[in-house]
Amino acid sequence: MAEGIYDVGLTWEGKEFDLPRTNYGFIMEDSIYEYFPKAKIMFQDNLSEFRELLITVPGMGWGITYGYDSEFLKSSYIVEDDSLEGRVSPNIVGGGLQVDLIHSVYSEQEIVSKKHSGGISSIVQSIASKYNYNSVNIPETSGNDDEWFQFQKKDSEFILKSLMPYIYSGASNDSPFYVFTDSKNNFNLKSFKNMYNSSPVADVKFTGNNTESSTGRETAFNIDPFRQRFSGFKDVLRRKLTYIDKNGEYQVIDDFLEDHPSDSRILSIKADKGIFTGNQMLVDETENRASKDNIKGQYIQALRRAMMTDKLIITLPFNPKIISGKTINVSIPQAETNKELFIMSDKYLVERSKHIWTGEKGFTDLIVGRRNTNVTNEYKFRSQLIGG
Amino acid sequence: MKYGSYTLHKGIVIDSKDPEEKGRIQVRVLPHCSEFKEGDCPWLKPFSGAYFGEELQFSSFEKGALVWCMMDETEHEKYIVAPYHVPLFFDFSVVKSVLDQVPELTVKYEVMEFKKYNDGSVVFHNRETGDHGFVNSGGYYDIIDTDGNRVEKVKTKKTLSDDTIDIEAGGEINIDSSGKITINGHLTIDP
Repeated sequence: MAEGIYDVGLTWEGKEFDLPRTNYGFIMEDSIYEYFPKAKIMFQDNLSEFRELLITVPGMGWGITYGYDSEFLKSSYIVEDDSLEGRVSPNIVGGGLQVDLIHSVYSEQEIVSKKHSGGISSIVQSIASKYNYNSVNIPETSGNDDEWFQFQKKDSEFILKSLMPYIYSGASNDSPFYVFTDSKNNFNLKSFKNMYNSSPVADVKFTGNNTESSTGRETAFNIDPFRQRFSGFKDVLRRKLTYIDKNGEYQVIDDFLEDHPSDSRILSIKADKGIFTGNQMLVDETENRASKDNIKGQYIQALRRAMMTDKLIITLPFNPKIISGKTINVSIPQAETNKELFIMSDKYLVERSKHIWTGEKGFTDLIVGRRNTNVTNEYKFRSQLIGG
Repeated sequence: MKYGSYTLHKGIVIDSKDPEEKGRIQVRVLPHCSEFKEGDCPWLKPFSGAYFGEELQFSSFEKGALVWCMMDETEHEKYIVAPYHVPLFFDFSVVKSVLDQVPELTVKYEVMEFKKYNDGSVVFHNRETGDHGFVNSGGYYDIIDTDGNRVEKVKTKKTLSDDTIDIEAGGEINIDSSGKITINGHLTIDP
C-alpha cells in the first residue's frame, strides 16, 4: 500500500501490482440502479508493454483499494474490456491504456435451475450469501412468500428479472426496493424509505473554491442542480392500476406518486391532480397468500426511477464515506448573503458515486437526489405542487 | 414497468391430479425444468377455460403428454395452453379408421370436427351433413343427423326412468312406473 494522505493500491490476480501510484489513475463507481459496480484503470502504455503481458485481457482479476484516513473503498473486479486511448504516434501502437472493469461476482455467475420457496428477501439473502461480499445488507423482511422458479438463470438475472418486479414489504412504507453492490463490496437490498431515512454520513457544504487543499473532505467545490425530465416519470404520477381479483372481478385502483411513501413534504412537480397519466395491468389475484404482496410489489417497483426528481451533481475532495445508498446533508449558501438556500439545502440520497484517483489527487463525483422538498405554507404556489 | 410480455415454451405433463383441485397441471417446462426433480416442477394454471358466472370448462392431460406452456417475462405467471402439435396428432387417417366402422356415416376430412381420446374413442361433428355422435374403441356408436334420425349400435341397452317411458313411433309404447307395458293404447302387459 502506497504511503501519503491517500491509500491507493492495485492488485492483479490477487497479487500487489507493483507500479507507483503516480503512474496510473482509476475510477470506482457504483449506483443504486446497478447490480454490479464498475471501475476503470488508466495506465500510460506507450510501448504496449501491459498489453503484451496480456494482463488486461477479459476475465483477468483486478482489485482496487482506495482510502483516506482509515476509511477505505475496496473491491475486486474482472476485466470487461481494454482500449487504446490517445495514441502517442501513428507509427506506434501505444498510448493510454484504459481497462474497463466489472465487479468480480459477474464472472462467478453460472446458470442455475432451482425452485425457491419463501419470501423474496430471504431468497435474495440466501443467494447473496454464496458470494464473497464484504457484507450482505438486507435490513427489511419482505412478504411475497411464494414459490419462485429460477429457470436456467444466473443468480443476478433471477433476482433482477424474476424477484425484483414483485418485492414488497409493509416496512418500506410503500416505497420501492433497490438491489445493488457498492464500491466497498457490500451487497444491498434496501427500500427507498430505509436508505433515505438513514443518518447522513457527511455534511457537505458548497464553497465554490476549486482548490482541494483549502477545503475539507466535506466541502464541495462544484454543485450543479439538475432534474429528471418530466417525460421520464409523468406516466407514474397518477395511474390506473387494473387486475382480475380472485373472484374473477375486474378491479381498478387509483394510484398517486405522492403516496409512495406518503409524508408531509411536497413533490416539486406541478401536475393536475385529477388527470390520470398512466396505467398498469397487474397480475391476477389468487388465493395464494403472496398474491396481494405480488400485486402491490408490481406497482410500487414500477416507481424506482421516479423517486428522486430533484438532483444535484456534486464534486468534492475524495471522500470514501460517501457511496451509493448513503445520505448526505447538503448546504448551499445564497450568493452574497451566506445564508443557506432554503429549498436546495437539504438531505439527499446518493444514487451514484464515482471515486477518482488521477495519479496525484483524489476526487469524488456524486449524483444525489431527493424525493420532495420542505416547502413552507407561505410558498405562493404550494397548492399547485403535488402533495400541497 | 411494462407488463404483459409472454413467451411460449414446450413442456411435458408430470401430473394432472392438482392437489388443490383447481385445474392446474404439473409440467416439466423445457428446457427450464430439465434438471428439476418431478416434485419441484411447477403447477401451471389453465390458460383458457370458459368463465362466466359459474360456467366452467376443464381439460386434463395425460402424464407424458407434450404441451404448450406460456410464461410472462418474469417467469412467475405460468399457464398451460394447449397440446403440442406433434405430426401424428392431427393425422386424419387415425380418426378415419374409427369412423369408417360406421356404415351410416359419410366421412370427409374438410368438414369433420373431432376429438380423439387416448382410449381410441372419437367424438365428431360433420358440418356438412349435421351428423353428430360418438364412436367408441369397440366399434359401438351413437349418431344423430340433421333430420333427427338416430342410429345406435350398442352391446346392451339400459334405460332407467323415475316415472314413465313413452316411445312414440307410428304406434306407441308406454311403460309406467309399475312396469306395466301398454302398446297402442290397448294391449297391456302387466309386470
